[in-house]
Amino acid sequence: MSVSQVAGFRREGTEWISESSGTRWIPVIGLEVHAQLRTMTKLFCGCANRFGASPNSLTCSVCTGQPGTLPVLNCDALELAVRAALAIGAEVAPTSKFDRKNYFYCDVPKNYQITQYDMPYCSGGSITVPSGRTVRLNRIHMEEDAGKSVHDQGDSTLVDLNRAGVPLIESVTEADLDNAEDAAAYLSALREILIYTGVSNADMEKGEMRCDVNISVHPVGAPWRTKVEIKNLNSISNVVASIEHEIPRQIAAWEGVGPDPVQETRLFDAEKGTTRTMRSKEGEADYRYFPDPDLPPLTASPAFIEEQRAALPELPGARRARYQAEMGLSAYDAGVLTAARDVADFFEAAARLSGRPKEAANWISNEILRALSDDEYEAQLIDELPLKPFDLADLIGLVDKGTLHMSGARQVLRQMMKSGKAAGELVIELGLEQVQDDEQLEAWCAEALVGREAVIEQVRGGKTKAVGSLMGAVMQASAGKANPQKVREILLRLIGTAE
Amino acid sequence: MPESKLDLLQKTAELARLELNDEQARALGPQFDAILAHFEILAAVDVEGVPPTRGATDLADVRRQDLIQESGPFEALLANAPDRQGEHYGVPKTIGEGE
Repeated sequence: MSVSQVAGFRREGTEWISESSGTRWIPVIGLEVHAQLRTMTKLFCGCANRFGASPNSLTCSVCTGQPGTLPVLNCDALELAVRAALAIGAEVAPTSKFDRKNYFYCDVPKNYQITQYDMPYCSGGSITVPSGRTVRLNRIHMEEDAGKSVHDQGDSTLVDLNRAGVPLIESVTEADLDNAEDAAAYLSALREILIYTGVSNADMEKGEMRCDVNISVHPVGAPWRTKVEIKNLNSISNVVASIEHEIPRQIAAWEGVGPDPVQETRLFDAEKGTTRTMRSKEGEADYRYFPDPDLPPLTASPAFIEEQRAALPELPGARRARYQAEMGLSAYDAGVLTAARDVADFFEAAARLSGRPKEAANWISNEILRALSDDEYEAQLIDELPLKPFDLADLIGLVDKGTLHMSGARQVLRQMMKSGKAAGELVIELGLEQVQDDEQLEAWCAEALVGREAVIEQVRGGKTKAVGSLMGAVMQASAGKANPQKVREILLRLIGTAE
Repeated sequence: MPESKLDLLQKTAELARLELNDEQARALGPQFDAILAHFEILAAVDVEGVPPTRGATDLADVRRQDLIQESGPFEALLANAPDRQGEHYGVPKTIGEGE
């Protein structure tokens, strides 16, 4: 990401220097991220936790807040929440509780949200981003999601409560950030961890991961100033754009262009790339938090925590480091292969079975992942392919032994991705087995030389590169089955030039 | 009822989305006062060293399996709505956003 130019400011590192006053300003940024947990059901009732169902079809008497109903905690939600905590090195509290956050809004049917206030299940932890900065987390707590309201249809606001009660974890960072790039890197890293650990699908387009930004600016060396909250950012690029807009807006306001910033909640307008006031921040006491009497406290025993720790996969950062150190992959390849857990698992199996990690990496990143993005294949994910890691290992073995040349191997791979047939079977079926028979190869080569005196002279004159066009003729005659190495040797021998 | 307590009453009413006119506020004043006085008695109890109550029962860790149960009954749930709009609950137009 490049640093954007903003009129009236110079940027030096993370400082914003106002050209009119010469003051050096520094931003202070913290992030709050809501992530929906990947459970079958909601947090406190058995309604399905699913996106895209018809309005209110996934609701019951509990999640619509009918009198006399009781919430009961989903044990998988707790397990996933604890895994998220362990994955970022946080502390899981031995006891925690649920509280009611009271406010009136049409998508909160009980008139309170069940959340965790002063005793969250998790505290601490950190994520280090590629720039080297460590972003500390203050806490993670569990809570239920709200429903959705549609404002732009007819005279009424329409309420759909399918999302009401969906389990969320809200993670809150310390104000350790001072620029949009690190904020984006933090969100990518967090998202990757949530997906890897199976805690959340974290698809921002579906609202499975949403971000609020807390941001203020102050002159270098001066105390921190009033912070503003930007709510409900639904993509990492919107987080970046909102920060890049909000910093100069606040500085300009402090420097006298408009009123001083007040503590408020602002909304980001993705089309205009600007933020606008949503409401001035209600004081915390107005939510009148109190322990939810319907939900007993919950405990996390050391044994339970260790069970969850054991269920954690190796995290992407650790995998990347291992691929580079132990398998000799480039940082780029290691990054491509670890971006999704299923790809990394596939790669590791193929590398182990073939004993050729670099070749396995090349096949996966250059051929398989590229092909998956084509419409030609039904599969969207590597796991959905009929081709399995041992098939790829077989293919690598055939190329290694010289049975198959690269272009033939690509052909076989494409067929394997469709049919799932074994590599050896396809080599025969497609007639791709390399011809190693010297007599046959010599016959093709001799044929290729006929009528190409000019090329032969060039080669004799020392321009051995010209042999390429002769090789092309042989490959064509052999339908791609001639072993190119051998063809080259034979051609040069026939012309009378040895390398 | 002193002015500050009347303010507190009005603020509490506002948080509950209740509108009180002066007459109603004056009538509710003494009742509100009595409630607050009762809480003052509770607040005066010495709880030094007493762990906070986290529930009214001795239960802990009541959990359920993550298994889908049938949702609904939709008709009955939607029938509770004063303004049903097809499959949606209709509410007076609100502008702005939720939490």
